[in-house]
Amino acid sequence: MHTLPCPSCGAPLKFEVGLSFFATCEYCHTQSRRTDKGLEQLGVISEVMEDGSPLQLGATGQFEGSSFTLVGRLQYLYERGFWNEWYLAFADGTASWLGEAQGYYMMMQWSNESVSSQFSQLKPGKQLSLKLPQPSAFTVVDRKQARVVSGEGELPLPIREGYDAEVVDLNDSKGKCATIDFSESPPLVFVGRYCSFEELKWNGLRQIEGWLP
Amino acid sequence: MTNSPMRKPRHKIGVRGLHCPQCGSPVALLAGAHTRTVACSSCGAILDCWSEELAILEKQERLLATPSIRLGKKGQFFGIQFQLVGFLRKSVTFEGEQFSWNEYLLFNPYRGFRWLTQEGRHWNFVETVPRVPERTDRKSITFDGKSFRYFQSATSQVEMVLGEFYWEVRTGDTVTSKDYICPPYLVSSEQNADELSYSLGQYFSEDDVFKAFGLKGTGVSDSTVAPNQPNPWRDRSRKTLSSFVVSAAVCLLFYLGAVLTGSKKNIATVDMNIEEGIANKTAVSSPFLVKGLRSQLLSMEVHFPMQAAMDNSVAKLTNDLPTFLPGDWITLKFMLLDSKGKIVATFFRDFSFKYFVAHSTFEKKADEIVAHIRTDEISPGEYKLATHIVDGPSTLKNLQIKVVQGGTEFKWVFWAFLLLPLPFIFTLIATSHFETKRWSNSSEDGNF
Repeated sequence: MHTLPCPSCGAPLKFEVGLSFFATCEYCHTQSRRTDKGLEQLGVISEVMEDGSPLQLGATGQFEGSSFTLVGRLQYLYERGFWNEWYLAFADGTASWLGEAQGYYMMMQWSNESVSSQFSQLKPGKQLSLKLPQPSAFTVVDRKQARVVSGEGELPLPIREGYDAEVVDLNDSKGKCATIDFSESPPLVFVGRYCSFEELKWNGLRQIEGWLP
Repeated sequence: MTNSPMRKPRHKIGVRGLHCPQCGSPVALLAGAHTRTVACSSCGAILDCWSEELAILEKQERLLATPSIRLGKKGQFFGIQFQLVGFLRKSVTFEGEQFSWNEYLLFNPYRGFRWLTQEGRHWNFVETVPRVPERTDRKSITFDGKSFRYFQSATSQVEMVLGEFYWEVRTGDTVTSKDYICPPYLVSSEQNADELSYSLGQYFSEDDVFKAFGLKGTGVSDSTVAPNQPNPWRDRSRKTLSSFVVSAAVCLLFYLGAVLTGSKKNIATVDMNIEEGIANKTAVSSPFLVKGLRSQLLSMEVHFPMQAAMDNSVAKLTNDLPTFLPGDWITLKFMLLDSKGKIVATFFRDFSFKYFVAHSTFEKKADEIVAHIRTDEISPGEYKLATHIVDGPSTLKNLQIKVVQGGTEFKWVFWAFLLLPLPFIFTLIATSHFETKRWSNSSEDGNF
């Protein structure tokens, strides 16, 4: 883990994951890029919005026997509400994404798969086979125009505030899920599975008035 | 996306100081920033929580229904606490008739939203599931390893709104859904241009829902049948079937045991020789001892001796011919006498012999058990049997009656087998009646 001073205010900026090249200062909200010449200041990011998420940076959990820590987050907004893509660091230095919306948790990995379908073709109900990591039959359940509204912590990619992305979500019959992000060309494919709140054995969650985890 | 307010304040759970712009009543946001719209509990105004001043989206003319459980109440389902945050009245019009039901939105900040649906006294606990069922055939789907049968399709409309919702809700909103059942479960699918969602409902009785909220139930059940209501008779018919199988097996075992262990013993014989005229002939046996063994039988066996064939052409078929011809009959009267000569039991028995001829040959039918007396019905001691021929064919020349102790009655096994399955048959009929009621509400012919 590296700790470097924020080029804007001098507060410590943490880099826990080797693939994290971007970090946002929790005090002055300045986003910086890590380069071989040191930190490069990119601009100020709006504070994350109150979205009702029970998760927060620094919260820890477990996934299939490995402990992880939430180190970064991209916050999205679309017509039907918020969702977050949390960047998490496992104890062994590897990283993963955790999609989170309204009590649903999706542990996702980037998949080196190319999808030839267009966003407009992937209507709800459409079936799509993905080969990686194992061949699986998915069904499109959701497609949306989403916008990055904020972010925090360390990330492998920059927070591009106000950036619009066309996103398609797919589920299979057993709890596996996939997301295709059309904001890049070729589209980015993430594959993973749903996890229950209980399964992830959380620690260090946000305090919510009147509730216990 | 263009119309969505991007950087407006969102409210945390437990926020205070919000008021309805229409009536001034305080507005609580139990689901905090998840809440997109809230309908004021006092005046029903539907307010936009994504606007700074809680802009009025719709004024509801009148509130058609009140929730059975008040909004804000917390309840426990499957070990997880949920708070009731929203209430919807929905309806569907089917062949000109309107059917209404209520839906309650439940919230837990760590686990998200669930639903309770209420139709009459039928309830369902419903969860949106991130899994897509597989289609099995034209009429069914497979979900979580269970087979669900298509039940109905319906387009429902929001009639009334109260409390908080995570989407922008208005009265008049419509949604088309398809239901598949595997009691107590129900899978519903909803689809629009952007979203395909599946929910899994589990049937709850009204009392169980009230209990989950720490409230007292009414104890009243609904006389109608809900689509995914478990058939209460199915379990009972399973139980009645297994108790029938068990009791029948026990009966058979007892019977077989009695047959195998209860050896028969000939304790007296009466030989009757009929010299002149058949009527008013009486013969008495020598004394015999009846031991008071429980559930043993005393049987009178009548032996009809064979006699040489009268007709040579028939004699070729068989060496023995009965002393009777088809159509003959005989009436015997038996009297059981105790040691003092007192009659303790009397019984008559008729025989007809029309069945003696079969397949153009005479079947030997020498032994005929005519009566049983259970030994526990008479006191142990010495007895004699008097046999009296009341009437009979003139061809009869002699007759032998044996008194046999032991053996087991088959009659009670017969009755047991007739009566024992009755509860099972009853529950089977009730099960099928319940299913008929269930499926009478289905639109099975609907578009799958």
